[in-house]
Amino acid sequence: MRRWLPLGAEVVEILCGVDFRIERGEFVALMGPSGSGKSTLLGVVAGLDRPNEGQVLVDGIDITAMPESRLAVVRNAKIGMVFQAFNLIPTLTAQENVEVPLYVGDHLGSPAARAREMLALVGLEHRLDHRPNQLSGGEQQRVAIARALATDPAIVIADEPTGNLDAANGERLLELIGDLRTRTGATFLIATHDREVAGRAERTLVIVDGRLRDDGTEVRHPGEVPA
Amino acid sequence: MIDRLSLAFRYALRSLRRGGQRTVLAVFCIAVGVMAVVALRLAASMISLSLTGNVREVNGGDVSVEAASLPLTSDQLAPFARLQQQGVIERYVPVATGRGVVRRGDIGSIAQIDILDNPAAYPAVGRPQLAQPADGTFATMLAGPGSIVLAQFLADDVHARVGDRVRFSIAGGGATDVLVTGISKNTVTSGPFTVYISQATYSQLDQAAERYSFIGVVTRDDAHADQAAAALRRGLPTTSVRTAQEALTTNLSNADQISRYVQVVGLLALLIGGVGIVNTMQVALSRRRVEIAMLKTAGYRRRDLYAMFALEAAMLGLAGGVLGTAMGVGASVLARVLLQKALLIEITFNLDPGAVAIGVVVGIATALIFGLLPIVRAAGVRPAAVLRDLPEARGVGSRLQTLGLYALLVALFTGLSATLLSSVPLALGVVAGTLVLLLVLAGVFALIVTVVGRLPVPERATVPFIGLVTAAVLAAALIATVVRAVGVALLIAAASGYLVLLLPRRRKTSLMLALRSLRRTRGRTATTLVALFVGVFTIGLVLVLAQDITAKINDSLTRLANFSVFAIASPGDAGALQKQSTHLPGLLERRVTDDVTGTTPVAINGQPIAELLPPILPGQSDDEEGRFGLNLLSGIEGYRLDAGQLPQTFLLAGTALTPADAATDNVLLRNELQQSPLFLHLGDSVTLLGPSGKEQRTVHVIGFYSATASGALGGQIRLFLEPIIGGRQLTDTIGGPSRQTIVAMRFDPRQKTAALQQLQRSVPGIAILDLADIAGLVGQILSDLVILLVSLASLALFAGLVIIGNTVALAMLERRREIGILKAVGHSSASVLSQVLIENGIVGAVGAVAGMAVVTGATFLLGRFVLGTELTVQTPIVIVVVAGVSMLTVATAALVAWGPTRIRPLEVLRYE
Repeated sequence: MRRWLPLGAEVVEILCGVDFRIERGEFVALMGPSGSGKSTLLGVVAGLDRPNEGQVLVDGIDITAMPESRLAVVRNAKIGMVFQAFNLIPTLTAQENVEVPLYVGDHLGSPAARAREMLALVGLEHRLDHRPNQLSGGEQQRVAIARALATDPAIVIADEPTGNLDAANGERLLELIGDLRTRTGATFLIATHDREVAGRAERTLVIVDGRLRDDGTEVRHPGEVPA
Repeated sequence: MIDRLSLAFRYALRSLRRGGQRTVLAVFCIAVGVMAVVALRLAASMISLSLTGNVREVNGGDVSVEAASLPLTSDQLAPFARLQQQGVIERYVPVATGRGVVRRGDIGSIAQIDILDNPAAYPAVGRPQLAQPADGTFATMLAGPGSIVLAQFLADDVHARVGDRVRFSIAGGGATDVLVTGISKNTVTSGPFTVYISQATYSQLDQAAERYSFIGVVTRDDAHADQAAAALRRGLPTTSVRTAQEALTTNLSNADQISRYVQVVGLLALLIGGVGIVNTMQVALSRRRVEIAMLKTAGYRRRDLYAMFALEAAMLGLAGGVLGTAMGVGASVLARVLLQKALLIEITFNLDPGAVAIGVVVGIATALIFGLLPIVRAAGVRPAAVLRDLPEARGVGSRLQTLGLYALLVALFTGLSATLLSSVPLALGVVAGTLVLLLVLAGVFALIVTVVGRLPVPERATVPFIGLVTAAVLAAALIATVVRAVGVALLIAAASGYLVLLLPRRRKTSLMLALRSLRRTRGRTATTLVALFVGVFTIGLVLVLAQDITAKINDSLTRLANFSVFAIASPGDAGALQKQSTHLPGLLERRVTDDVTGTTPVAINGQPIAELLPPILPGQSDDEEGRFGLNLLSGIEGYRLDAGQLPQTFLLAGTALTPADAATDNVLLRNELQQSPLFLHLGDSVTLLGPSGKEQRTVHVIGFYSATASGALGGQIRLFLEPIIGGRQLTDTIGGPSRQTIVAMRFDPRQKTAALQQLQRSVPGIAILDLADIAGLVGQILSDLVILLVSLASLALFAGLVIIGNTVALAMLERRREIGILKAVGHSSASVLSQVLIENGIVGAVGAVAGMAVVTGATFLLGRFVLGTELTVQTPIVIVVVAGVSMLTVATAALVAWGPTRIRPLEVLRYE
């Protein structure tokens, strides 16, 4: 796919013919320096932005030209997002933040029960009623992950999830992601500029100047097989 | 669904709580508007109840007959007796009226006398509305001779209580001391200057035959009332006949009109509050852009967000509605007190549950209507904003959407207005008119803000800068020569430009940043200025008019009038009065006339007057259709023309009276008689019946005069106690024993009181009318009215201040990063705060000066084209208003900005 933006009389190409596939259950890292088109690519994959050319299929659903109202349904059902700045709603508790996506779309069972289950999964069963400002950075990110997983999405997209965490917390978060993959079989796409973070993934896509580098930097870790 | 609603409710409540100051200000914006709507609605409901509550009593009977212009003689009451014999009416109670003066010590008051033939029969329906004794009756209160019942207002005016003795004199001459045996409440039926006496008491002072100006009739039922009314209209064509049902219809219509127009004021307050809600919610929601974008990434659609934020707005509206309703109920209690004082009637407090419920509903509706624009804008945030900060769409589609939202807002507010006013055309007119006015004002203020924002703040004195300031000073001085008050304010502002040069650098920087900030937020500043302007204009106008009119009335009555004291004597005391009044201390001028009160016109040029008057339609008051003009033929002031005493009138047509007219029946009449209903001309003859009903005389019109004229120094008033000006021979003939001698005097103010006391002691039987008493009375009434109007106008100013507080809070929110950067580079909290205070001080001063400038223009136009006099705006009032509003604005800004300017830079920058 391609994505460009007009800038005055010129056109700036942000994504120049990006083509890739992520299998269910994979843990893929997306690496690239600032301005490489990483966030744009994430946005397109997450249905937050549209490519000018090409196609985006999420779990077999073509979201390329989908109207916003239907995109919202797909985002709710198929995509979970985790952000560098956590983006928890400050006025809601940890449990309520995880419940938020469960009140739109078709989801079976009690949102509260599901939220408690997800928070237990990330080890925060003792922090259900705490507000974001009462949680550490690492805990907030774990709540964000729980929120992303609550709707059992086809893919979890994380934008620099360890960017606002110290090394220890970042490490713990990556271990958690690995653990969650094992327990839930969830698919993860993580954008990062950190090689160590990327090293945890099964595969790394490197994007530079809007292009995925095809020079052998696609890394597959031995012993890790996609689910 | 319940879980979802529960989460939405919790989210809304906590978001509002997190809003803190913003939420409080938004709630106040709604509360102020709701308070105005509820308070005014309740006040109108109370007035309506007073007018329609017991319509039989208000009407004075099942049928009321008014003959104020042409009072009826005893013979003319025959139709009532006939109807009673026929069983159409059960009974009738005639009331004669007169004029007089009630005096206690040095304080006197004019009195409208109701003379009761049979006190036991009065009032015709219901019980007397008495303040003291609460359970009294006129039969008991007026049982003994020399008793009097005073209206509450008059009693308060002369400081009389039950058991006191007062001096009572009547216009026909004759005075006596009477005992106050009761005080009646101020009601719609009983005027503030009404006194009640028995026929027995009145006849001791005046033996002239009674003339009845009001008859209350009691019937068995409505059908008989209609029958009686029809018969009386046929038999007494010069009277105004009204049934209780007709009175109810009229009063309901009047009450409805009052209610409607009073509601308009409430709606305008609601509109001003609504502006505050729009900008509060707009910025509050824009601060949650990332949060909103996150919700969208989680799958929330626009309609989901509409519902969530609408719930938040509704909760704001509920809080504002409840608070505003409570404040409105309290304000209505105050409004009732003020209305009672201003309208001089007793108003029963009534808490209408409908008005209370409407207040809460209006609060919610207002929040939803004015929250619509920010909610729709917020829900349009692009979900990609969660990844990076994206600017809001500014394309054609976005602008069209904004215009569409504004149109929808206007339409919805018009719908709300139409519901409250019960009139779609009125609502459309009010909303459209207000919008146009507000847009024009906003445009003008945007221009002013642009100019002010570009004012230079040089580091040191430069020739161009000094030239600019000097030019401004000269321009202001020029304006001051034409419009002094506003010009002085502008002069002070312009001259402060020189002071800028003397400011230390730190302060100059603050001033410069303040001016730039004004320019940057031109639109919002213009909106704030509009709100402030409305408040200043309404208060300023009320204060200026009240002060000017009070001054003019006092001036007119006591200085511009040729005489300010009138001593009235019956024929028996005439000689003593003339002798004793000749050498009073401080006497500057004196005039003696012989007056006759209560003449009745019976024919014009030989044609009976009843044939000349248009018929009074059912329900129409006797005073409509110009019948009040007939009062201008009730009374003659007789001059001693043969002795060279000539009346000083402002002649408008014909010739003045001369000594040659001494032995004639030539008269001057008031110029209003040239109009409807009589259309008199020079040379016409008017046949008058004397007060006793026996003497009749035909007078000839040789001139028309005006009681007032505008001179070089303003208005002048020539006071005549009776409207027809003629010779003494005429009054001697027609007046007989009912004529009075009037000695008009002008005194040195320092000696007046002693002189009047001396005169009263030496001739106890006279009545003394001092215009200063009237001026004082008028001043008191005006003062009460001003309090009421200023209270209403204060709502607008309060709303303006709330909007300023809102705007400052929002600005602080938006400029958190800017404040953080300023402090990071070395600015202190004090310098940041001073920038905010300077900015808002300028806004306050600009709004106040603009408001008072328009007040000056409005009072000029009002005086020139409506009141026919020159009205001026006093410079101290302008200075006080401008200074006061500026300080209020600065204080409001300080209160709101104090906390935000003390924020730590790291906290802000890290957060951002």
